[in-house]
Amino acid sequence: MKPADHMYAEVTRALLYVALVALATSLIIHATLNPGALEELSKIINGELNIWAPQTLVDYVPLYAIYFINLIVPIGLMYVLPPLFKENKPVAILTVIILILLALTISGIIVVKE
Amino acid sequence: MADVISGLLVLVGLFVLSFVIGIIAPLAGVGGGVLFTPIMLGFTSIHPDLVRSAGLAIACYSSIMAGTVYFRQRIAPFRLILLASTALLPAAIIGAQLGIYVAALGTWGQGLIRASLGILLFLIVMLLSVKRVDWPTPRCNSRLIDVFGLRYVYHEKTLNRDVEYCPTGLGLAAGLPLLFLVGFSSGFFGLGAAWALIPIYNLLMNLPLKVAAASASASLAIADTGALWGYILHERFHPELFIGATLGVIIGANLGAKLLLIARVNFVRRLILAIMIFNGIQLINRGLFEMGIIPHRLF
Repeated sequence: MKPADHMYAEVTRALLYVALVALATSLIIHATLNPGALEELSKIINGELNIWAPQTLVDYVPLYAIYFINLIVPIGLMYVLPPLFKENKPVAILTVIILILLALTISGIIVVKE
Repeated sequence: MADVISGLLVLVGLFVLSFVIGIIAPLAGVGGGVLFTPIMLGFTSIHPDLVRSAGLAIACYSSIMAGTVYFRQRIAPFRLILLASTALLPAAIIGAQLGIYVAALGTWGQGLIRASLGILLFLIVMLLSVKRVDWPTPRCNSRLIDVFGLRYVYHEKTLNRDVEYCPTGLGLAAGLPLLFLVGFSSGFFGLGAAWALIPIYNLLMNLPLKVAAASASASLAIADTGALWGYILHERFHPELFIGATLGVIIGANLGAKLLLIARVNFVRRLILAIMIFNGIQLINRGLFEMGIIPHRLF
């Protein structure tokens, strides 16, 4: 089995390239199929908009691309847990704590409601 | 239709600006996020939440990209970064939540963010000029080093030999609280933090400068992922702004890293530090005005 740092580097690199392509593609699709998004940019530049939520089906395309790129780190950490447990148990336990904290954040449990 | 065209122009302009920031940032020895957030907060009317989420994304994805190279070469110690992330991650999450809360206070809160970021920029410029140590003598006699497996070796091509390194136990213990502050500022301001991490890793933890710089670049991926989810779940981002700025800086930074080899770095570096100082003054000026502390903006 490869060392954990090599495995983490490989898996995150592969996922990052896919995610960057997905981001670029989703931007083109969103701007083309939903011109309203470009109109919103005019409002943003004037400071009239500070919040965004998906309104139409096509809005979910960039949203899921953004979700995906922000899942690279947790996926990478989960992937390297087995070799990390073999290499160094205390660091592996810290990684589990990091993953729990990330899971609680991603699921919205420790996000403070306004 | 006119709004669509003007929106398209904004998107193209934003991409070009981000691309230019991405090119010049490596020449100044900082990450793209460190220039992007202050410039956008100082010179545009875009809401701080949208700017900070995009700035955080730039810092986070650049850090993931750095990790893909440095972890393989063992220039960045993976286990040390996981250990550091136990302090950076909760701090960045708290910073992001508090940042969103402060911005929601209205003009006063946004002014506070701008003014404090302006002050932070001066600290960044000062830290960038602190003298560093290229090859500190490794002192790997702490029990902490053995427990967490923090003894590393990598092959240094310029010296044509293997270099052994590890953080000092005392530096590690003293560095973790500082890392908490760094994580907080990253989440709160939506900034990268290599400017703070390099001195911590190099001067406090005794890591070689090259290792410290690589580790600083790769350190924030985990922490900023947590902070970013805070902004995303609060719906404080806009896809076009978020994606356009992120791609612009990342593509620009790749070109900047190549230019670094041929450009007159000293001149560019001084120029960018001067821009950062001017940007800091502008942020303080604007922030104090928005907080109602000064009656008029000075310029």
